[in-house]
Amino acid sequence: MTDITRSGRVRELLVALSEQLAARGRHYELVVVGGSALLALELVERTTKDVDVVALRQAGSLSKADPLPRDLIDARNRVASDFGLMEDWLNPGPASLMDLGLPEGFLRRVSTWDLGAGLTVHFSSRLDQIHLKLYALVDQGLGKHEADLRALTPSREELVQAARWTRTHDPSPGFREMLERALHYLGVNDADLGP
Amino acid sequence: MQISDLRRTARARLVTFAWDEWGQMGVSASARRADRWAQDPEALLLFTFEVGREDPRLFGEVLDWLALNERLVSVQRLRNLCHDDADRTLAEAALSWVAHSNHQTERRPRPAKSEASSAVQLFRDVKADPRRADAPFRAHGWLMPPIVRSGKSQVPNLQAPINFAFRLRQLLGIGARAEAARFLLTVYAPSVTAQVITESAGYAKRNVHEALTALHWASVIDSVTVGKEQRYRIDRERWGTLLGLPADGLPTERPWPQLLHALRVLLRWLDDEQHERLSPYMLASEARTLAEEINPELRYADVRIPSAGRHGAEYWQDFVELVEAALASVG
Repeated sequence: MTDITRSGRVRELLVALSEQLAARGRHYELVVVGGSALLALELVERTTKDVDVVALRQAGSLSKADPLPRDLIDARNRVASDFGLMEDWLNPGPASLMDLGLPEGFLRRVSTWDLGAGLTVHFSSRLDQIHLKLYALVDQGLGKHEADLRALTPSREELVQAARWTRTHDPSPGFREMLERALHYLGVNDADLGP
Repeated sequence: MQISDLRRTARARLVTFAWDEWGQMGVSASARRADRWAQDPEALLLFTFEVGREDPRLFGEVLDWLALNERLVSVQRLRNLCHDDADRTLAEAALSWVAHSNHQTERRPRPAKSEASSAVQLFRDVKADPRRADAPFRAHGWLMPPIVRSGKSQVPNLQAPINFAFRLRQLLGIGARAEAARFLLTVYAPSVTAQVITESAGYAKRNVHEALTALHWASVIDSVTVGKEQRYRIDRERWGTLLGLPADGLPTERPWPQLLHALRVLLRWLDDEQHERLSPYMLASEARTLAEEINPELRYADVRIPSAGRHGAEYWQDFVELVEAALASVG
């Protein structure tokens, strides 16, 4: 199976997806986060296997991407076959983030690619990626999330802002303790994380 | 290679193949080759009804042949080998044309569902005036200029290997027995299952089972049980003696129903002008979809499928190689 390694590759796959959707008479707007968004905006240099769709945008409002619509799945599978990718190379893995909401102002900060008649993709901004990566780091541990977060070179203020947002997703004392440890690890001490 | 070039190449080679086959089977044409294989008349008819849309003279001569030799052809088998509406309407139109031609029926051909207003031109380069189009074909949704029998066809030379199916039909009658015997005599395998025979016989599984049972009872084929499988075999020497042929002089088998179906699906796809308007990626993607559809039949027919390792728009080159391999399989 082929990995996605650069911004041009992300665009090539999404243009192909757009053509497949247009051939089916469909158009979707996807909100994408994660490694492929970082690659697309050239914020990091690494490989990824998939494109993480958090939400679908329709008439200006967002809806959870899980489950993906049937015709989007069909078009995605066709692209997978055409490019030797895993069938779920585009998936709604992070869609549960929508349950408690994305960071305030998320949609105003996205970078948008109009990819033709079948597809528009909104990639999360650097600041929002800092929010999501910090949450993932605390929730899932070090590894690629730490590497991505460091590559984004967040300021103290950005990390504190992100940390406050992560607490809206998990207000438990246990999470707060792990969050404080993560911030300390990232060089932020004595941050005001609210009550 | 552009799709237009690929289309031209495929058309030319498949039309030539059809002429070469029919030329050995009684159609008025110079036989430029002497094949060692046994041809499948009904599979070749269905193939020619499609490929003949590129060559009205081929189409007309094969209709003439069919009118002369209709007693050698199984209408039931012809219908059984149809895969889609295009196959069915072309076959029914040809049968209707033959009936009309041979018996000069007064009765107007029964209109089919796709009649008249939705009728499409049969020939790609010769347009028929809808008001003067051939009635039997128009009744089945095809506009063809009226064709008069050339009268130049002959009955097949039954001694030629390519006409082996006709010879067995003369011996055993038209039906599953002749097809089962043809397959067993021509296939290069010690024994085969009823399922494999059915794939070639072109009759329903039940009919083929009945035929095999009857031939076995008559002690002209053998049945053996291998594991849980019932397998059939034939004594080629005994049959060769009966037919006046050495055992190694029997014609060879080719999976014509599968191969000729795959080729006509391919030809229809290449002829679809909508493909001209696709982007390089979408053209390659559609080609890949087609390849996925026809590859099982091509593999069954021993066509060497090139490895398809290219991605995206570059897959087109793999597809061109696949088409060339498929064309090479018919010489």
